[in-house]
Amino acid sequence: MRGRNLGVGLLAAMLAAGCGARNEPGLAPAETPPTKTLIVFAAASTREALAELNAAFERSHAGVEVRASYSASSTLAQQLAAGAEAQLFLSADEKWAQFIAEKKLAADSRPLLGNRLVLIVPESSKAVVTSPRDLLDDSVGRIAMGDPQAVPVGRYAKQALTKLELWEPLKSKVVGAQDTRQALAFVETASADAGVVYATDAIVSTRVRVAFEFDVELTEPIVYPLVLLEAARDDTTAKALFEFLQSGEAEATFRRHGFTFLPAEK
Amino acid sequence: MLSPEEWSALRLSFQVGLCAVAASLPAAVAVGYGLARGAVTTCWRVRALHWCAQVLVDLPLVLPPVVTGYLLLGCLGPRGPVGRVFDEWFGVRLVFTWRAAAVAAAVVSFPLMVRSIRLAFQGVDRRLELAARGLGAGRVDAFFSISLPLARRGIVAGCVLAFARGLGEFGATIMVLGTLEDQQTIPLAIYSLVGQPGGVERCWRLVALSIVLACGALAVSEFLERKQSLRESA
Repeated sequence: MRGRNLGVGLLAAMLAAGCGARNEPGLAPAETPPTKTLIVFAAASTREALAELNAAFERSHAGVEVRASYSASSTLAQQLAAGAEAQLFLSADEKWAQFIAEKKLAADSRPLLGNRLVLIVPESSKAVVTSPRDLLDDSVGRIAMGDPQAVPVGRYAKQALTKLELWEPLKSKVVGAQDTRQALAFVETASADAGVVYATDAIVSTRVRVAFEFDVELTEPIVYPLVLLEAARDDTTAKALFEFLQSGEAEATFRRHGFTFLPAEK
Repeated sequence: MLSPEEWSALRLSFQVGLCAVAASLPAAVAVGYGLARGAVTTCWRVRALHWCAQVLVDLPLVLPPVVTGYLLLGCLGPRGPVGRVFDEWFGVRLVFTWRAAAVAAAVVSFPLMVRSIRLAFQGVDRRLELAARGLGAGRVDAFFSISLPLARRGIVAGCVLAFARGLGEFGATIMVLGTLEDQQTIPLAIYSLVGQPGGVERCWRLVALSIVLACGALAVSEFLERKQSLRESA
């Protein structure tokens, strides 16, 4: 009898606790809730640089919390189109920024960053890969890259290999990854023998090395547009972050992580 | 012992799992009771309805979770039938928040809950209910004072199983919850970590946690179901 009551009581308490605790996740009990939360959707390759800049923005704007979602620009754009809430979108190519604009979700857009495409191999790799043609060799079994259909880094990779007339013979070796960091992880763990990522990604991991860099002429210009989303059109804090990411302090941080900074070149 | 991100994932997983179970419990009990009692009938219409209901209830068990997620996205999104109501009337967004993850967990674990509850009610002797009715109790009274208490162990087992399934839900959740850093359930956190350089080594704690939670839930559920069937054979 007591056991039954105890069991029912415990279950009821658990259910009540589960439903009562409807505070937003990511909040430690002792912190004061932020007065303003900004959500930034950013290409996976910008993770480290943006994390620093978001933290800097939070320090200079008391009570503001900046939350970030890092993934392939294609995935992020689809989420935005499906109703995800965010104020800023940093895309790794123009195509997905245009997709957002076509859905009438963009208020403003500026080209922010540039990047370069490199081929990486595992640090311990014995394969000799010094130029794109070497990828045809049997010592290179699998080549990891972002999904060539949608993910920006994969699209750039496909463009470069197509221009070199290597796409058809190499197609069967390609392993599509969810985003550039997953491609990097594949090469890092030697699940793939080579991978196409951004130059900025290659320096994040010590377990890969750059075999060669793809010529700039081989792809469309690699431009990362920064988009202020429609929902944030009248949001002063969001616009402040939008401007901050184009400022001199942001330039220094992005350059340090290996990106080219486009606003400076105007 | 756990990093802040891991605690956050554990907290969110529990929040999602508990809410999913709490929200679907009344419906699961009703459906489980209906399916248990409707199984023995000569009326062909009731048999056909019973068959349809059982198939519908079991559907999320067999459907690829990603398909479930896709359908939920369409339903709960701001332009979908349910999402639009919540957005316009209550100003509450469902998709890409923990609420949609709770709905996904509830939908996916519903068949498991109903299965356990149905078995529990099937084990409750109908004659006890009829005896109560014969003594003057109404249908509802007989249900709450006779059937429900006798089936409680099976119901709790169903809840525990559903909670465990909700904890482990991935395919539907990844479609409706999104990729926000501090808003990930345990499976999503593991997947996200594995897709980052150096992540495979870092996620072992979350993996171990998942295994421990799953084993614990299964052990409790199994214990309760055995107690329930012991009662039936008594």
